Amino acid sequence: MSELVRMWGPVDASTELHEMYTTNGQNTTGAPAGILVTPSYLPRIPGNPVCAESFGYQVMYAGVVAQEGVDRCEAAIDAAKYLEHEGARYIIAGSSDLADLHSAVANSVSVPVYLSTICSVPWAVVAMGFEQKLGIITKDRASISKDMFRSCRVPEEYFDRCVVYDSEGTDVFAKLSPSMHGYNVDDLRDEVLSIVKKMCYEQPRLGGIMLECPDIMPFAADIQSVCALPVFDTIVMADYLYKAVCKKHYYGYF
Amino acid sequence: MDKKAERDWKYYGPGTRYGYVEGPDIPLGNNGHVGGILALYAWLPFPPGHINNVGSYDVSTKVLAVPGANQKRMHSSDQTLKPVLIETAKKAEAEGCRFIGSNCGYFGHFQNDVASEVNILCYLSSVIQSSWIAQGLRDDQSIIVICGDGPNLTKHLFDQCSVPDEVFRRCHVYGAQDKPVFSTFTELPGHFDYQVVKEEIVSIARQAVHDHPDAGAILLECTDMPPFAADIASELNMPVFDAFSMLGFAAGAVARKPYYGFK
Repeated sequence: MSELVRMWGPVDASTELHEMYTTNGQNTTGAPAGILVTPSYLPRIPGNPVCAESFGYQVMYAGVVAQEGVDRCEAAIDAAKYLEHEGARYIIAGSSDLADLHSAVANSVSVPVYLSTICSVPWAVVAMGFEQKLGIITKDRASISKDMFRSCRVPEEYFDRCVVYDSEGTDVFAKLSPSMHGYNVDDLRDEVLSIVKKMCYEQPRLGGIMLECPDIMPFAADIQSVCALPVFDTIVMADYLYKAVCKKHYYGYF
Repeated sequence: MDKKAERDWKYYGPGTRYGYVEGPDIPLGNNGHVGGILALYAWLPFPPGHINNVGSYDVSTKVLAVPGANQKRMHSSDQTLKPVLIETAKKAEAEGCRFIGSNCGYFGHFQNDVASEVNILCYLSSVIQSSWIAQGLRDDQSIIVICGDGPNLTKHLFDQCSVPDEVFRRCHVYGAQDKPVFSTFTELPGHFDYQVVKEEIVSIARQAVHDHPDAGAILLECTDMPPFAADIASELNMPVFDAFSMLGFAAGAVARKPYYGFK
């Protein structure tokens, strides 16, 4: 691959373009977000980070598939390098099973990398009072561990600021798996809203909710209307990164 | 607040049926602003991109003056400001704001003190983001922090903003306090030459990147600087984070809207 050429500044009314350069072999421009995904047959409705309609800007996807002779870490690094070469300004994950590769991928490319919503746990907790908790909703409680926090470069003490609720006892949520071809979205929403209500009842000092599972992110607004708390997820994290890496000039009045 | 109204954070969108709706607990002040910016007194122009210019936000935002607060007291972490800061933050909460920001990065001296006293998200200094940025960079990359007053951007402020020591050590702090026009801001002149200040700030970024070729991102601590963020990104060709990116994160989390689109 040739040398990467990237223009971090905006092109707008105040820009004068002269001689321009680009990366050899780059097919796409104008898509700031690169998203790593693992194979799955699950539905992708708006609000899920694997649905491009969830974002107010263009995104690109790259699959992470382990093959004979290529372990999943190498596959993730290759996919990230592909996205970087295509002009991605930051790389995130659309699946929840890549968190352990965060550091390895971040150290392999020249753009910022955030491979799990868990990366944003400290971003939420820093704005809360000491006694407030962040409630994480995930499919399987066992997947959220101190190890996972460490691989996301989140200091361990943040683990104790979180309470984790999972899909235990539900019909649809608990059965979600990449090989499943479909489910009733309204039933899933009802189940997730029940979990939120239970969490709010049992945890009076809740300062916010974080959705770790991509399949429940489409319900963020419903969740917020039930709990009246900040709701964090991959989309909120991605929108934040977009604001920083696609810095625009401000226009208006004063 | 003794009397805490039930928060209504429901999104009222197309097809919403209202039914019975409660009014606010207080007769004045609660007008649906999502963001509240705590503001010290500063007689300076607030062009688009300045944190006091509410036209620059994506969500409804209002500015709440902190009585008696000024740059001198804030920069030097004057602890006697704490009660009035907390009082103003509680006012913002009572008036329905869902997150709190500030119009000066040195409010960060009080980040934890204020966050602990309210039940809404509290992001008082852009410096908070230094650890968020470090998480996404390569281990061998550093962060350039450009601020208004270098000597007062102390370890205490980073600590209040929960920035771990190892991240603090990766930050290179550059202050604008000696630049001819920027330095007049502390005297509250009520005017400045935009082009001159822009060049002053961009030149700091130029120097910083020259000194630290391992830098992976630039962070603007000062809330007077976001108008120039895009110019810095263009010239130094790297990501630039500022207070607006941080407050955008807060706004994104507290003002969730339903998704519509194609599957």
